Amino acid sequence: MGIKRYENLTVNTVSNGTDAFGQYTTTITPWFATRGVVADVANSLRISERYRVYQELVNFTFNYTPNMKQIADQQDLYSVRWRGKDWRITDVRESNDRMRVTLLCYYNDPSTPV
Amino acid sequence: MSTQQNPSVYAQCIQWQLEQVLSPVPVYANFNRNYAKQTKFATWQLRNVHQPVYTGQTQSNKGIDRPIFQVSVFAQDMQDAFNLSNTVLQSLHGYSGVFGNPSATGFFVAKVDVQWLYNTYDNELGLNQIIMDCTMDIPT
Repeated sequence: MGIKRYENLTVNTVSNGTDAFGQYTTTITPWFATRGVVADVANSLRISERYRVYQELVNFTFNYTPNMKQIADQQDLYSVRWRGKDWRITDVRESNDRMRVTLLCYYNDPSTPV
Repeated sequence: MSTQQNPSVYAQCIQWQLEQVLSPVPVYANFNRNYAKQTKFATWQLRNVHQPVYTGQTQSNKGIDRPIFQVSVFAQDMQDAFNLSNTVLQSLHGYSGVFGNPSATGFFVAKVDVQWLYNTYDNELGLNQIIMDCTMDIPT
């Protein structure tokens, strides 16, 4: 039986606004530091005729807490910092016993601020 | 005799003015998929920045600038779209005075002329849309 390895993660809040030109802005601010299980790290590259896009996916599993419920309800407003990158949340899986939350997160390079 | 104004000044002033007119409805330059969650918003695009050039070798021998910015108001509810377009019409059509933030890049416009073009429905977005052309007469 393997040992469960927890990694240091920072949960950020994501807020959107506009600058003086009306351009969409994304501001990422650290909310709290936590630890979670990182799994299924998948880095992929898509090359089309004109573009080269690195798309990376990862799963973060956290204990179910009030903060995690808040994230599960509005996943667009939060991101997770891991290995020096901000991972935005695509899918949220709450375990049936409500003990854990798994976030499926992605990172794009070149990044598009959304 | 006049000098050409910087289009970036126009952009900032259009954004500021529309924010004042439509507040609290958000205003953005161009379109962006992030607006998917918002039920009402407006976007704008600037075009036709042009001062007619008169004959002669002096570069500043130009007429007034008449740029056009196109405002699109989006709303899930058709009545909201019409009301938002009316807010723009009532506030800007025939407007004369300082356009933009007076304590920053605001400039004088002799008149703003709003042409309410058409209303439509974007099936992909599920939003009603109304498009207006706003022409500014800017003596410089």
